[in-house]
Amino acid sequence: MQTPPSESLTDQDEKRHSRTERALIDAVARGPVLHLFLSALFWLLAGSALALIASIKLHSPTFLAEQDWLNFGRVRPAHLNTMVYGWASMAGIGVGLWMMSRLCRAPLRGVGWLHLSAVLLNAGNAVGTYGVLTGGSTSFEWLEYPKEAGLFLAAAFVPLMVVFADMARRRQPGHIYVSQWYLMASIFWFPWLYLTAQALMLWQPVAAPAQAPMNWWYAHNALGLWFTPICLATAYYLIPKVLGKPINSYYLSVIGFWSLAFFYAWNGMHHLTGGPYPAWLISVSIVASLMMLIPVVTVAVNHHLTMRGSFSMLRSSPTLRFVVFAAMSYTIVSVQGSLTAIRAVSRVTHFTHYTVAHAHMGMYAFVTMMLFGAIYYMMPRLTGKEWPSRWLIRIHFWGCALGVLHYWIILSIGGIKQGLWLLDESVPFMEIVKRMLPYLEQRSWAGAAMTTGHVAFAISFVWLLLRKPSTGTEATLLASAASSKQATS
Amino acid sequence: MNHFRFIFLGFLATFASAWLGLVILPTIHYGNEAAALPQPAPSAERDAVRRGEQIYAANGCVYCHSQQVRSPHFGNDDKRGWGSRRTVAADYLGDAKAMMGTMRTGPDLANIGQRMPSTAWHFQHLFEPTSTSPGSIMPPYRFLFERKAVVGGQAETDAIPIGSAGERMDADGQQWVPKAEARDLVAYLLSQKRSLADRPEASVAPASRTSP
Repeated sequence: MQTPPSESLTDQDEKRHSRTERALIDAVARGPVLHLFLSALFWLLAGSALALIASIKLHSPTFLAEQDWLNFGRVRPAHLNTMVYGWASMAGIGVGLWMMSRLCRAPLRGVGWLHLSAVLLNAGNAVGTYGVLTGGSTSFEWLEYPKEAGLFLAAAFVPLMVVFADMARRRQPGHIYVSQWYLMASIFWFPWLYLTAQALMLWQPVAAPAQAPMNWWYAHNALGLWFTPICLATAYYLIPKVLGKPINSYYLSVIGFWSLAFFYAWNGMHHLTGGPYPAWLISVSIVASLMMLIPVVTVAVNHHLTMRGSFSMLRSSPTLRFVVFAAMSYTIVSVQGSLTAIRAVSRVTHFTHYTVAHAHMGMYAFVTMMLFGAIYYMMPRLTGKEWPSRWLIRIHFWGCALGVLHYWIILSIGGIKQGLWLLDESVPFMEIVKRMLPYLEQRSWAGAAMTTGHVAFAISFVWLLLRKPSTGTEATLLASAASSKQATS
Repeated sequence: MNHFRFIFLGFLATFASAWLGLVILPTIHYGNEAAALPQPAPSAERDAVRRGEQIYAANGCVYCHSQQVRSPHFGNDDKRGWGSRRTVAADYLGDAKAMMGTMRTGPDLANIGQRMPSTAWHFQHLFEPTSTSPGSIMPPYRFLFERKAVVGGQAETDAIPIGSAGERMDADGQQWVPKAEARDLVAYLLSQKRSLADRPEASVAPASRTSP
């Protein structure tokens, strides 16, 4: 390969990047990235409110039952779509733009177009959420926004693809870091995914039996080939950055990338196990899902070996705490996913809340926590101001971390029981409904904890923006920096 | 060294392989099957079912109700009375939307039209789920009904029984009548009779294993 492993990101960074160059890159990125982050924050809060309403309705069905627009079947997809296209996509694009600009050492060009892209994303989410709540949901999971909203979202990706390609073209000569691969791939994979699904499911719908495989190809790959690459790029970038040492193995990161690119794309059909499809279609995804162990284990080993000897820094660095929590969640959720794809497991867990728990481990414990970590790192660099309160950061971390773990554990256990009861016809169906109520109530408490974290984060974020630039130049660490130091750059 | 262009082609090639296999292939295959299907004659009933399908989608019924019966070798859907045979792809060819579902917070509806053929029951259940199914956590769909004055002392025939003795009129002389949306939705639910069609591919050979 073109670059020896020792010539890693951090070395390169320390050697060649001048402080002024980074300052220029950050200054140019500030406008569009803050636009994206503030929008994402709004959708995060909106999505949290919708999530709580939906969750409470599952154990107290008469809660807010009079209004049609607050019906469970509308609030639930509104929650999912605002989180996916409002929060995670917009935050992910903001993180991706800045990282790509830093890694290519090319200040962003087309800032006006990026603002337009953020406006289009907001418009798409607004039109889509309004549509779902007023009875326009498509009922295709992950694609519930009415087709008009999709036009805005798809259009937003045109400037993004151009800007990313432009940065790749203008990159400073030298080694291409694996984060750049992930970012560059995801920004082109997602529009392909999204346009295919929009065109063949909403605008010119294919025969109904072909819709379900397409639906799960889309939904699984929206996680696998859109959010996962952005978040792995973030982990690959930030872990070495914060620790101030290079990633353990360049070669492992390459194996991890290509095995993910190939195997993830074939996932999705295992959501149809037991369904009305030929065995080959489902088996292909089960095999691909098991093969995902290769990229997952290589990434986990690579990050673990990089972290080795530096775990004490988790006490002080907010960024590292979120990022490492997210990276560990990635390993857990991926291994869990591979095992769940096996028919013998799926026979029990399919059609139960176990799947819901699994989905939140992926989109929340991995994706959302990773994006939080990135935002903690980026904001002081973009604004020149430090985070105002370590207590708000603590509430944010523990609310979200304990909330999502409680959510995952309680619904996984409940889901397995639900699955076993469903397979035992001596248990009447309504009895299962009753037995699930305590688990569903606990889910609402877990959601409340995560929402508390989000509110603390929102206060923290807005407070930072409103702060005078002169205050708070010391990095806000969660513990005394005497025992561990945070690399600055 | 500049390998980015080469790497980029790799991104597209890996993605295209799965796109062809999982998206384009099923699209062509099931598209051909749908095209070979005789077109049913247009009818008012069929139109109501189509509109009802939209109501079902708009209100997210799919998040709690699946529409698929699994093979007796993979689960016990038959023993729960959800259908006499497994569903196969051809069972969905006449649908505009595939809403097979991934969750069973509520029971499967693949054959609900056979299992529960009473229109009155469905109206009652949608209006107040616990009145027909004690313990249900299904939300009441009051907004599919309208409250209006009883004219001439006699409630409409499909007004919802709301009194303790089954009266269809409350003390204020008001009744709850299904809106057009509720009628369409129930027409759609009653059309769900997938087991009735004879599908040779749905027959399953006795298997020695529980999970094929």
